[in-house]
Amino acid sequence: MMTRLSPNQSWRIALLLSFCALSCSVRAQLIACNSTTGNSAYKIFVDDVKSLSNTPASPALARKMGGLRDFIVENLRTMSKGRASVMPCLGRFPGDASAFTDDEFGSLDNLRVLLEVWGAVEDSAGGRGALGFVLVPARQLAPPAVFVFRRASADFLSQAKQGAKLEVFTPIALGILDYQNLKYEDAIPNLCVGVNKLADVANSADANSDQQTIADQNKLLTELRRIVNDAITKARSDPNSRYQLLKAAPGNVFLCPVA
Amino acid sequence: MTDSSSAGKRTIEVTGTLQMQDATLDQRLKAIEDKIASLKAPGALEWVLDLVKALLPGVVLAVVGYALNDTVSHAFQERQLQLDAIKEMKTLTADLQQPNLTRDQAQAKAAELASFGEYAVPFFINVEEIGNEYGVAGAVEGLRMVARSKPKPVCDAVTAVIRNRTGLYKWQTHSSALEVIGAVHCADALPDVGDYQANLDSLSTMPNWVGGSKPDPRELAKLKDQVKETLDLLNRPVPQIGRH
Repeated sequence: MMTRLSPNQSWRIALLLSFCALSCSVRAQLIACNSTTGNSAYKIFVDDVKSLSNTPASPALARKMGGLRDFIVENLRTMSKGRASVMPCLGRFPGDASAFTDDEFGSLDNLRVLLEVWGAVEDSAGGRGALGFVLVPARQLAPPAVFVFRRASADFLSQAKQGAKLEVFTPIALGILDYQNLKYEDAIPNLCVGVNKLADVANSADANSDQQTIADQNKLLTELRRIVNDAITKARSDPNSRYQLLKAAPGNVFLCPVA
Repeated sequence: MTDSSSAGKRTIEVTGTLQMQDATLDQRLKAIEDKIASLKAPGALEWVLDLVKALLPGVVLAVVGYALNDTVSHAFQERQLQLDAIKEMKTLTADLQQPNLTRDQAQAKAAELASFGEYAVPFFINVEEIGNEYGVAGAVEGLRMVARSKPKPVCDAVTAVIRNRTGLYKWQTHSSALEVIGAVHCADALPDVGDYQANLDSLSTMPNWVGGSKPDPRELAKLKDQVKETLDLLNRPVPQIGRH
């Protein structure tokens, strides 16, 4: 049965359709990482570092963005110690965290992607921007497992300023992977490095930091400490474990051994 | 007189057969003649039956010939249709394997491919095996789309995946196949899924079944969860109302 719409209803529907069309066109569309087909190793995806500005980046800015991306690739290669293949994904750029849905996490997990990193420059000078990290094995532990670190000061593209954050997530990803693969003894060192570095980053957050990101970091920290305790307890079931010497903290909880 | 009479005598030799006719013979002959006379002329039914008997072999031959011709013609048309579909699908299948594919594009291409129905099923299975992140996702969705109208070819194809034990498919393809079996409710696959679960007990079994990278313990646990979920879905009662 057809009913005639009132002008008011028509206007609302038109507005809704316009909004939908606008949001669909603005929504970031991830493209597949073209270097993954047939590769069965554990992986770290490094997406583009791109400008969010509508105007094309100047050659100098483009060079700086390329430099940051190369720095990220090299840094992650060092951090992963050959356990994961660091793959530059040319043209892949999520733009924001909303691109990482459950389906996206499922696909990444099937491809054995442990970590995905991207960079977004928010002004034409390259001063402000954000680094995004997708910690795939942590999705079950501490969703959404996507962490975006925004830098409001004028040095986002300064490579040295980003190093600390880059060092946080690779050990966490490897530690969680080992823990989930029941390799408790191997998992503990990486988990503990990750816990300490993440705690440092969380403690250095200032008033300008995104509160949701801080909450997500703290949630991850809590989960990491829980699985560290569990990993140490299980590792100690082996009489030859090096963690036999570790003493439990009050509450019979095992904490990361002091280095 | 005697002489003249004897002189006029001629000897006549009569040759013949003397038939001694039994009196009962006539009676028997008469009885037969009466019986024949009493017989009625053949009725319409007998006449039609005679006609049918005469025509039957010819009719049977004609029917068999027609049926045979129809079957051959149907098979030929089916094959022709399949070839036409393959030609038309060629571009779409290539698109589903493009390196710079987005998830939405993959879904759109999969929907187009799914409109070819059962002919698209082997392509979807292949893309699951060799496609990139979004190609694989599109292929799984494509199989679901085909199954909504033609569940049997989809069920047959995905059941064949989990029945394979020679490493023809990756463990991820096994997992996707199990997912589709559950979602489509491929009831005939229930024994195969049960067998899969019974034998999927350790990492020592699985590497012999699948190709590519072997699942690590975490992935094996995921696969076991998928098998359990598929069995749960298959064991859900299906309403029988209105079915004949």
